[in-house]
Order: sequence, then structure tokens, then C-alpha cells
Amino acid sequence: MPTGDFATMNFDYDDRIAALLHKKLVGETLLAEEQQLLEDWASQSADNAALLNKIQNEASVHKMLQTWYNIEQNREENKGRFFSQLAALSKESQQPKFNFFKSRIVRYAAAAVVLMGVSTYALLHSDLHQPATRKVVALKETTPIAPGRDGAILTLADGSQLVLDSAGNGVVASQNGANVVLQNGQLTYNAADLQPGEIVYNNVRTPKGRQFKLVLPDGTKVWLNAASSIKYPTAFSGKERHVELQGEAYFEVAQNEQLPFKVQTGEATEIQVLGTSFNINAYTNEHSIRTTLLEGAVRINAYSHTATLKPGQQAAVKPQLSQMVILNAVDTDQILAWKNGLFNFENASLDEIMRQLERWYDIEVVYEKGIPAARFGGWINKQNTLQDVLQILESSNVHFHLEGRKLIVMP
Amino acid sequence: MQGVLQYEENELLTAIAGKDTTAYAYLFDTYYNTLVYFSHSIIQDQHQAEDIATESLVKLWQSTARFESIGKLRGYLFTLARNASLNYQKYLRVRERNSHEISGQEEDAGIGIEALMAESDLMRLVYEEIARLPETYRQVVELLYLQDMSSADAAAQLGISMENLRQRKGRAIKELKTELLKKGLSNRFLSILFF
Repeated sequence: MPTGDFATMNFDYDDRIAALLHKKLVGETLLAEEQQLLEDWASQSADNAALLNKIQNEASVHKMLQTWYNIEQNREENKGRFFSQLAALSKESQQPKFNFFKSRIVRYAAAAVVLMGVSTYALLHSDLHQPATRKVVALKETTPIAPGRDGAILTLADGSQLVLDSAGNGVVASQNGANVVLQNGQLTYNAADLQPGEIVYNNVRTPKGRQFKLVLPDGTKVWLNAASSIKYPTAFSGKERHVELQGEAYFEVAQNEQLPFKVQTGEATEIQVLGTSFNINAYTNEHSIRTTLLEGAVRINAYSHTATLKPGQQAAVKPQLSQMVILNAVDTDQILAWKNGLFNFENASLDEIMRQLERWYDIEVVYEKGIPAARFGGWINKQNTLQDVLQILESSNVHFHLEGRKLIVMP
Repeated sequence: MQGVLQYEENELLTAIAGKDTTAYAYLFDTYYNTLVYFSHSIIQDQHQAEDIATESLVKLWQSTARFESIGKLRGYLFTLARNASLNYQKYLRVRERNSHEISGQEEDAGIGIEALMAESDLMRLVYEEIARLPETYRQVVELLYLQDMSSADAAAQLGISMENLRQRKGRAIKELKTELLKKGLSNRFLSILFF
């Protein structure tokens, strides 16, 4: 969720009409008062009446839907342009907009203008010596790759899958008496009349280029980073609340002393929560599983080690070594940068950065001549297009070129 | 509950006024399609409508106002898009009048904003039904119904046989809820048999 809990829009009148028209189009029977509302609305203007008519005609609906579809086709590209425009505007208006680029990046950015010229020259020049098969295109001329956005795939107990999109609102499914509701890009479980009985599991997975927020049946909030998944029961019962995580998530666990909350990641790491907020980074292509505590207390069991964390501490479990290391006073803003819409590249190596870009921009990274040993600093807004981020990184003496969604890193 | 929502709306409005780009990503995801649809219905030109929608969001970013409600903010965005669309239309009309000397009927031909917003929101809901289909069925609906591709071309693009395409389409029709979509898609199905 880029920033979290955005409100229900308050244009309730319009909203109801579109939903009723949809109901009619789907072929559901309207309640008497719904029918009345729709008729009143239609009698208010000729346009309203015409729309009510149009939706009963297949050819008209087809045409309207094609218009929508064509708009949808260009959406991502235009989103990239939109954010490039915003970035350009901030640059020309006030410097303070770039406060979050810490000093190092600002210095690099200043050098970037010069270096860009040099690297473009280098690219053009090296082209002369390359076999003619590869066409080298300057980054600026490639189609902007838009940043990721909210979205996920929900797998229900019966194995059926639903695509969750920030655009859609409403009840998306019913699981064992609980209504699964999607609102403003956030999923919640509404256990109105819970049916006792067997426990069923749901799974929410974000592909690359998507992140998602959900509220578990007990009220626990979960922010899921890109390329991650969480498995949980649609109702918690028994002695504990048990969920399984892959990838990265930030949790704000709802208090319930009777039912301890446990997160399982990988085969051997279990995090037992004692009422609290914390971040877990358990991507399998990272070196360690890192649990960082913000508030409360958590206990980590990994291999034969057990540790209880205090706020500001981080436990790094290294599966290859069956080892656990506790770090004190970690920078929690840095850990939560992803949830707050930023990339944090403070003291990061190039391959760490590239793994983050792969997940968020849905790209594949290859290294032409090994991984350059540069270290980076600073923060970058996650709403930048890929090209904008790369231009900033290029000032540290690495170079990129893009072939579709494949990013080639050159020393 | 109302109180909670109020606070969250406030949080969003503050983020927008503070030029928080994550809030603008949310705005883009929520309003962009509807703004384009709206403008397109006035000027009948998709690319121009895309520019107008994007420009409206950029203007919001540039404005210094803090809106008191999402409803007002939405009203502002749509007013910008409407004005830009009408100006564009006027510009086209002036150009046309210069060449044909048509006597102008200047009135705005009363655009039913409310009907258009409802129409566009409705299309979002209908399109979602297609977007949520399992991948293999969705592709079939997109190619045959939304892109009006011939079934031979669609089968070739997907790299499957005509028989396979027919089966997938049959299943897609079963998965869809909306009667008119089912009908629209099966009509296309008939055309396969005739070709």
C-alpha cells in the first residue's frame, strides 16, 4: 500500500448508481427500492435515461467496454510519463523537494549531468566496436517503465484465484461464513456469522511490481511487499494464530493474549509475537531472514537458537550457516522505507539494489561482467520510473542499458 | 467508524496537498481511467483525452489548495478535464468553421457529467469481471471480444488450435456472470462457424 489506509470516497450518490447499473447489467434482480432509485435517477436527465437504455444493448456495451479497454492498454505507460512530469516539476521549482536524497546522492546527482554526457558518448563509442546485432539505445530514449502499484492474487480455500486490484471495491468472496471484502485496495475479513468447523486457509500473493495491504480475520494488519506471499486461516481458533510468510511483510499484530501470534518463515524460523509491530524480510534470494522489531516484543526460534528482541533490535537468521545474529539499534526508518514508498539504498551493494528494482519494476537484471563493487547511499522515491532511478545510480560509475524488461548492468 | 474514515480521508487530503507522490499514485490509479473516459466521450479522441487526464492530475499537483473533502477534490479534477475538453472542442470547431463557414451552434450540447461518471464507473466494474478471469480465459476474451480479432488470428497469437480456442471460449463464457458479455462473446463464436 503505498501509504496505507485511504478513505472511502464520498461521492456516495454516483457510487450507488454505478453499482446498481452493474447489478442490472449482470442480470441480478434489483430490490424494489433499488429499482425506484434507478428510475428516479433516470428521470432526472435525458443522458441518465439514455445510459439506462444503452446498457441493455449488447452492441453499445461492447463499444463502451472497448473504449475502457483501450484506455487501460496505455495506462501504465502514461503513468510513467505522469511521474516523470511530476519529477521534472519538482526539480525546476524547489530544491527542498529533494531533501530525502541524502547528501551523497545530491552530490552524485550534480555530477550526473556531466557523467551522463560522458556515458552517452561511451555508449555511442563502444557501439562502434560491438557486433552489429545489439542495438544500443540510450536510457532516456527507452519507453519509461512505470513503478509498481497495489495489487495481489488471492487464492481461496478451494484453489480458485482472484486478482485483487486497487480499482475494485466490494465483497469478492465468502469463506466459511466470513465475507472477504476489498475496499480501496485493501482486503479485510468480515466474520459476520462465523461457522464453526474445519479451518480453511487463504493465501495472498503479490507478484513482482505489486504490493498489498490486508487485515487478517483477527484485525492484524499486514503490508506485503512485492514478490511475497502470506498464508493464513480465514478464522483463528485453537491455541494460537499461525501464519506463513514468504518474502517481506510488515505486521501490526492485534492484541490477544489468549491466542499468541506466530509467523513461520522458511523451514526453520518461527517468530512468536507478544503484541507488537515488526518487519520480516525473508526473501529466499537474500542472504538472511531479518526480523526487525519496532514496538512490543517478539521471540525468534531458529534452528537451535532462541532470542527475544527489544524495540530497535534486529535478528538476522542465516539459513546456510544455521546461525542467528542480533543487531542493536538498527535504523528502523531504513527497514520500513519500502512500506513508506521509498527505496533505501543506504550503504547498499549494487546487487542488493538490483534485487529491489527487480521486484518493484518487474524486470530481469543481468550483469555483463560480474557485479561491480560499488556501494551506494541515499533514498529514492519508489514512484519514480525505472529510468529515473537508473539515471541517479549511473552517477556512481555503473552503467545500464535496457532491452525491453531486461536490464543489463555494465561496469 | 465514521470518525475513523473521516480521519483517513483527512490523511489522504493532507498527503495530496503535501505533494506526497504515493498519494498521487493512488489518485492516478483511482481517477485516471475515469478522467480519460470522460474526456474521450466529449472529444472522441483517445490520445488527446489521455493528455487531458494527465494534465488535470498535474494541475492538481501544482495547485496550492488543500481540499476539504475527496468529493470536492474529485469535482475539481473533473472540472479541469471538462474545461480542457471543451476548449479543445472549441478549437476544432473554430478550425472547421474557417474552412467550411458553418454557422456555429455554440452551446456546450449539455454534457451529462453525472451520466458519464456513472458510465465510466460501470465500465470499471464490467471490465474487472474480465480482468479477474483466469489468465487463459481472459486472453481469449481480450483478443476476440475487446480487440475484435478474428479467431484464426487469435488462435495463432496464442499458439493454440482452433478447437482449443473454441473450448477456452466456451469456458470463459461459463465463467462470466454478465449476460450481455456472455451473449457478446458467443455471437463472436457463431462467426467462427460461418467463416
